[in-house]
Amino acid sequence: MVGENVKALSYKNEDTEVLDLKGKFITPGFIDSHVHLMTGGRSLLNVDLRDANTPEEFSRRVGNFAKTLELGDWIMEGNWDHTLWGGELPKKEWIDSITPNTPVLLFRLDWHMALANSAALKFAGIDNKTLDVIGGEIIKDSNGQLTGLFKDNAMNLVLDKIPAMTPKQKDLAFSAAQNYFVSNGVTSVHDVDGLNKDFESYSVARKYLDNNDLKVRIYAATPLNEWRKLRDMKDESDEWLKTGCLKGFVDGSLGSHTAVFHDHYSDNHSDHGLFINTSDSLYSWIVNADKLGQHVFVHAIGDSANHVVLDIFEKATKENGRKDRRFRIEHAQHLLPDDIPRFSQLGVIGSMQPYHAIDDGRWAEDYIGSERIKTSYAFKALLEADATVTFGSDWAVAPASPLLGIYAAVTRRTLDGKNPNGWVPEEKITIEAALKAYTSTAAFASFDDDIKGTLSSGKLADFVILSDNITQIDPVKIKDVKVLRTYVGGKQVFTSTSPNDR
Amino acid sequence: MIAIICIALSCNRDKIKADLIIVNASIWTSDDLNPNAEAMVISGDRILWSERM
Repeated sequence: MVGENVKALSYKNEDTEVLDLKGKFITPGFIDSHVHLMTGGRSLLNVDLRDANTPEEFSRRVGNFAKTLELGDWIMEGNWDHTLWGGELPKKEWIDSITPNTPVLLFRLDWHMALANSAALKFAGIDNKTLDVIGGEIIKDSNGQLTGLFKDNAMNLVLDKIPAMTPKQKDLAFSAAQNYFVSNGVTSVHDVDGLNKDFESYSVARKYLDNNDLKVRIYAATPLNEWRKLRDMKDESDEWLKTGCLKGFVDGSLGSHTAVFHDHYSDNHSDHGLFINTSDSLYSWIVNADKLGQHVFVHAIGDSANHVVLDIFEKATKENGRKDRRFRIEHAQHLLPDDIPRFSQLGVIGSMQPYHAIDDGRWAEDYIGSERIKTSYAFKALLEADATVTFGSDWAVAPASPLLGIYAAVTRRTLDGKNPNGWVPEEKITIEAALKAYTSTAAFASFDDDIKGTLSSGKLADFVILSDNITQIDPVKIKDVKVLRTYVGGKQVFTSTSPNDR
Repeated sequence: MIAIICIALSCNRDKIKADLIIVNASIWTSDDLNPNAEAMVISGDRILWSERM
C-alpha cells in the first residue's frame, strides 16, 4: 500500500466503509448532454425495432407486441431504421392486418419520420384530403394515397391526437429510464424534453426527488418558443434537478432528408432539406431568452442550419452584450469549413453525439457526397480550433452508453464494420478528449463545472467503476468494457449483477 | 517526524466524517491539475480529498 492510500485511510472511523478496488478504474460519473428521457423510457417498455433488419421482422415484432396490449393502448416508439433492409420506407400495409384495432405510431430512430397504421390515422382523423403542414410532409404513394408516413412537423398531426401518457405510464417510463442510465454509468443527463409538455420528465423527477428515489441528476429543458413559460416558472433548481435551459430547432435530420444544406443533397438535386423554424422567429426567441439569462440550445444538423444558428447567436450576442452565456448547438453535425473556427470565436458549445457518426457513417456519403463528410462529426477539427465540445447520446435515437460514445469518437468504426480504420479517420480523437466531453466539459455545458465533472475535493461524489482502464486498452475494446458500479452523491445506485463483473 | 504525521492523521480523523474510502483504485479525475489518483475519500455526497500526496 502506497502513501496515498495510507493518507486516505487516516480518515477512517468506525462507520466508514472501505472499498479496496484492487486496481479497478474510476472515472467521474458520465454526463449525457442530450437525452429524450421520457420517450426513451417509454421505448424501453415498447416494441424494439432498432435492429429489425427485414420488413418481415418489422411486422412480426409489431404483431407480437400488439398481442400483449389492452384495448385502447397505443404502440409507440419502435425506433426503426430502413437502411437495415435496403432503404425501402415502411408503409402502413406492413402492419395494418396485424394491428386492426391497435393504433400504432412508430418512429424512425432519429424521430424525424414516423409510420402510423390505419387505426391511428382513423383515430387522428387523417385522410387523403388532409393538408401538408409547414416544416413537415405527409408522404403519399404514386396514386396519391396515404402511406402512413409523416415527416417532421407533419408527425404532429398524429402526435397531437395521442392521449397523454397516464401518470402510471410516466412513472414506469421514468423509472425504466433512470435505471437504464445508471446501468450505463450515467449520473447526470440534460433532458432536452424535460419541460416539453408532451414528454416532460420534470414533475416525475420532482416526485422521485421528494421521495429520495431520484438516481440521476437532471438538467431539464423547456421548448425555446416557450421561453415566457420558463420565465414565469418558480425556479427550484438544486444539484439534482435544475431548470433554466431552452431547446429549439432549426432543421430536421440527415436520415430523413430534412437537415438543411447549403448545396443540394447528393442523391436528390432539388432537395436542400427543411427549415423547421424561420430565422426571424428563432432570433426573437433567443434574444429575449438570453436577455433573461436563460440558457439556449438549438438543434442544427445540416451545414446551412448550423450557419444560420451561428449567425443568430452572433447577432444576439451583439445585441445583448458580452457575458458568460454558453450558447449550445445540439448536434453541430455537418459544418461549412469556415464555420468551424466560429464556435470558439463566439463561445458556442458543440453538443455532439459520437455514436451517430458510426451509425450515419454507413450511408452519409450517399446523401451528401465525399466532400461534405470531411466536415461531418468534426470532433477533432472543432477541438483543434479551441471549440468546447460536449458529448451525449440523443437517446433513444442512440443507446445512452457513454462507453459506446467514447468508442465511436475514438475509433469512428462504422456499425457495419466497413471502416476498420475509422470513417473520416482524420476526425478521430483521443480517449482522454472523449472522456472530458462526457465529464468535465459536459458539466461546463450546464453551468455545473463548480460542482461536478471532475473528481476533485469539494465536488459531488458522482463516479463510475469500470472493468478496465479505458485510457490504457486498445480503443477497439472500449465497447466491451463493463460498468461495474455507479455512485451518485456518494451513494451506490447501480451494481453489476453479472458474476464475472465482480 | 513520525509523531507529527500521527498528530496530523488523528487530527483528520477527529474533524472529518468519512463515509466511504476507496483505496487501490486507478482514478482518472478529469482534473488537469491532478489527473490521476489511487484513493478517494467521500463524506456525505462530496469528495473530501482525491489528490496525490
